[in-house]
Amino acid sequence: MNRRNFIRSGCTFCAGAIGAGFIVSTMCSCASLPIYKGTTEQNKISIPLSNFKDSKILIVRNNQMEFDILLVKNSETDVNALLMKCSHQDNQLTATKNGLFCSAHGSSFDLQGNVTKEPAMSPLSKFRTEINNQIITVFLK
Amino acid sequence: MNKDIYLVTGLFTPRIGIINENHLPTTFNGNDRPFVETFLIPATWRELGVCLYGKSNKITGLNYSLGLVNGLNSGSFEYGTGIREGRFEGRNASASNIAITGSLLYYINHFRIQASGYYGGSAGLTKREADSLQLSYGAFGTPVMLTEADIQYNHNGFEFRALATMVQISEADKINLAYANNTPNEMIGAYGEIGYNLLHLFKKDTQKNLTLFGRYEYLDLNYKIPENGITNDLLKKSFLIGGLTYQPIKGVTVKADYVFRTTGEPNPALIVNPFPQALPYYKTNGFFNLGIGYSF
Ligand code: FES
Repeated sequence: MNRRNFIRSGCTFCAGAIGAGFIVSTMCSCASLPIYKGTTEQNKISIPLSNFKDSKILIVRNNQMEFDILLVKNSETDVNALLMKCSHQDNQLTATKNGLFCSAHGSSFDLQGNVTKEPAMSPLSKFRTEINNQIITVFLK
Repeated sequence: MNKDIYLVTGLFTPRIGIINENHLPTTFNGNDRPFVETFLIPATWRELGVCLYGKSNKITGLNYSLGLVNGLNSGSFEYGTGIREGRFEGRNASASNIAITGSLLYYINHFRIQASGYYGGSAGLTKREADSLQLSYGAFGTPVMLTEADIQYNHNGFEFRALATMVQISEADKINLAYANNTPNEMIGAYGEIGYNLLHLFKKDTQKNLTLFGRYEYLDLNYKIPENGITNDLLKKSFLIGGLTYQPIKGVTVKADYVFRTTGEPNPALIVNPFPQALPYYKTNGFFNLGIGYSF
């Protein structure tokens, strides 16, 4: 491949990628999901409900844990806590308001943690939660 | 590396197309993998290398990958099978050429949208060997470029996927001079598939699957050929596939499908033993396939 062709092909590819990115970004608001950085105390994490802001889901990140936790607010009194670890081969998951997706082999899960697309066969690990005085407590054990 | 980025090293399957990373029989319709992802994207395509994978915190649903892998061996390219036979797949990898591969993957509203690319050398030889065959040597010598874009949709029992790809081998003439394997300059292919889980009609949250699907594929393995290549319409193929996929439980699949294949007329100049020594060639053919698959 000569230099001219390489530059032309490379630019075509980049323009395509940028174009696709632009189309995608106009299809959605592309708002990032809220991330709450919490600390664990006696195998519990406490998260103020206000961190959900307008979102129905919230990512909880903690340096002592290998994977993030996704909190899903079903109602003001009911919150799911899902471990964002793919049940197929332990890959980290991507969370969106429509579910959790694994970029490694294509598995997907709904916001209740059920498998919606294989190869994963078992649901996501869940943690028990409690809500008191606008604080959610996630019990890690 | 952190909760958003990780590094894979060793033998791995780069993110190119749909099937390469996601090839278990329970994850696609039909007994055969899509032909475009067999002849153009040579899935399953493993290479030795290193790859960075990540996801964006700024744009929800955006994932990316960027990797460096061992290149191809154009001396092993076989006529009519694209670049498939040129994969080292870890075995005897020469590392005399390298390749860059990258992807952008975006999840939005039940869609999965991806674009990926591969650019790498294919001389697969030492400098002296490459010189003697008049092939370009260097990290990206005798380059092969593959670009691909695909989209998938899954919701309420309905599924759709489409993919288009192109392979460019700019120095195909030099490869032909060295190996006489009739390598093309460009190959193209695309497919589209729709399916519906019939059990969803009766139970919205069913965990079982009885999908009725249809897929159309087109590929041309000699879309552009160099001056020293010989064109053959036999390598312009289309496939119409229809069938059923049944999954009584997760991890198990029973498949039945019918494949209707159409090709162009073979180039008589490439027929070594003409009829009646060779069997007559039919431009259209039908295949009925039944299969059982499982993943574990
Ligand atoms: S690790 Fe998630 S699908 Fe394989």
